[in-house]
Amino acid sequence: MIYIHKSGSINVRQEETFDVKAAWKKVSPSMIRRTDRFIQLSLLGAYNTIGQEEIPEESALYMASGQGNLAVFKRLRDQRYIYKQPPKPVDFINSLSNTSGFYVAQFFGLLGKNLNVSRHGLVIENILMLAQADLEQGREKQILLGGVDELQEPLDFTRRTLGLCDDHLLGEGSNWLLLSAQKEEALASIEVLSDQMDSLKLKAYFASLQQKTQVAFGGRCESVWVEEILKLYDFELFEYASECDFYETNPLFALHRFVEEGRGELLFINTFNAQYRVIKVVLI
Amino acid sequence: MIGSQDEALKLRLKMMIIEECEKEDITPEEIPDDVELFSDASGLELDSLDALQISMGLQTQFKVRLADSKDFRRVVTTINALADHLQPE
Repeated sequence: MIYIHKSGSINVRQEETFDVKAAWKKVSPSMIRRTDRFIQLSLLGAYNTIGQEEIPEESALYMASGQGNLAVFKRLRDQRYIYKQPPKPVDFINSLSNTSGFYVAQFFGLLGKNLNVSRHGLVIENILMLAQADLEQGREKQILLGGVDELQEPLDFTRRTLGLCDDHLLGEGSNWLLLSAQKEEALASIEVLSDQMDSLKLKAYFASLQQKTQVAFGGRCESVWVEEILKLYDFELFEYASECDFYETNPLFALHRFVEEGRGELLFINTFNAQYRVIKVVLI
Repeated sequence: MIGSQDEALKLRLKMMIIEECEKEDITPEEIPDDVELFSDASGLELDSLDALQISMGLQTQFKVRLADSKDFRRVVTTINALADHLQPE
């Protein structure tokens, strides 16, 4: 079993404007140069979780993203193919997948493993499973785990890329958890169920549950299916979607909100390609 | 007019350096004309990545290509020297 010791968030809705650069500059004016919005989101989300507190330098840093730092790739592409110029050195460096991880590690003085996972669908579930395995097997003592996504324009293109319907609102965010295998002083336990399930198997799992529980659903779960599940089983919906538009890593926002304001136990259900995964959080 | 006497050119160079090196807290007036840009005395705290950025800025904004780091060190010393290189007369 692994435990959440801290959680923090930056969450920006589609219609909101949020000056990430100005916000980060207030925190660390000396670490603003050469950072772009994706890196600033990463830093600010992690800072909202850890603050000024020192964490052991051997702590690992696991970062997940649906699209990674796509904005910098767009700039590189435009420089190369539209303006016919070589890339700016800083853009080239920031295009490396784990550059934002480097900045976060540098800010908190972390020297441990620095892992970066980027994929569409269930990326938070996958990186949590890695964290779970590494903490339970004692490979890591503590992991700062974050999910970061930057809103990409044009929105229609982004929706198509993500495989979403036209009515999906898109947001951006940076949500983080500090995890360890130590129960003392923890806020909650967290577990990703090891089985990846189809709809039938998931329903069988729901039917096997003994006690009334709260549930929340990922943005890829269809609303008709969600309504069906809520009717079929004695679940209470933990509402977070009204505060958060879609981005691939927003399950961490839901978990953060549950840790902040929830009670009891939450099952977070998410899907990709008709396969489902369940994250179970129990507040302590 | 030789570059070091062309205030407009020197202002463009300083603005290019501020933009390329993301030194937004510094104004062009704060960059001295005759102090080595990569020295402590300039107050700019530039490093090797800034050198690359300036090299790119010279290429894109002034159409000047510096072949290598040796060439860069020879040309990009002070604002006056850089302006003279771009506009020898």
